[in-house]
Amino acid sequence: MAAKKRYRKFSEKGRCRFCRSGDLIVDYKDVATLQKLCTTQGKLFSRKRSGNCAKHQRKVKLAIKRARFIGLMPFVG
Amino acid sequence: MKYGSTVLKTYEGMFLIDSKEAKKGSEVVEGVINGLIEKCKGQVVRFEKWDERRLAYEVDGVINGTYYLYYFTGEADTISTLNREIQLSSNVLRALFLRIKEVPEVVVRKPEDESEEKEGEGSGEKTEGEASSTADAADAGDTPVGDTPAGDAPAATEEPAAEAAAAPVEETAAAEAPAEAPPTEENVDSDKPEV
Repeated sequence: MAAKKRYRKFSEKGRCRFCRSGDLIVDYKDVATLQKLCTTQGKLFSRKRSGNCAKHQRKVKLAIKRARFIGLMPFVG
Repeated sequence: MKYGSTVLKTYEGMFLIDSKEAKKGSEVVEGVINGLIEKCKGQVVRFEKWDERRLAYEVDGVINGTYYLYYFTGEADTISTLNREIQLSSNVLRALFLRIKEVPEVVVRKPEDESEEKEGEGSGEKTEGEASSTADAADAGDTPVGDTPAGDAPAATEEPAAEAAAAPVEETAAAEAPAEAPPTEENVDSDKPEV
């Protein structure tokens, strides 16, 4: 008898933080959330490190650039 | 919205003003920004003083800035005209305009609210990356959020009094320490013969 195939369960933990919660929106004004996705030097974490999906990683990238321009976040830490 | 041949679009504008000028009078600053927008054929829907904080970097020699958030409607050439006007004006340091679909009812939370939420949240479920990154963010985020120039001034005046109060305590503690030390040694010595 052939062994049953084990399907990997889809876990909430593995999903992107913005996909996971409907309330959290990527916005340049939300500095606290953006800082969680940056190093202390102000550089953006990789997708592997932050766990973001490609779509939200692009949005975060843009939001950080806007926040830097307006003086909410540093260009160089 | 379509009125005749012109199409009005909704925009969000964030204006950065020097805090020193903003302290002179918010009505003056708001009047200047309102005037700029109306000059460029824009109509202000809603505006508010978003935040006053220490800037992440120095902008034109200014360290502390005040942010004003505006929602307005305008024509296609409103933003390009506004950008030109802002470059000429000395009051507005920086401005950022975004096209939005509609004016939001609730503005994105301010730093004060975030700090309160952080205190209330405690330790929830976090991934390894989040746990380390939140620690980093807390370290980095403390300075801009907690920094208020008005709050620093009284603290500086209170420092000498606090030091003066603290100093005698240290002296008395130091004076008592030698007095207390010998008994302990005696106790140790006295313990030895007993054993």
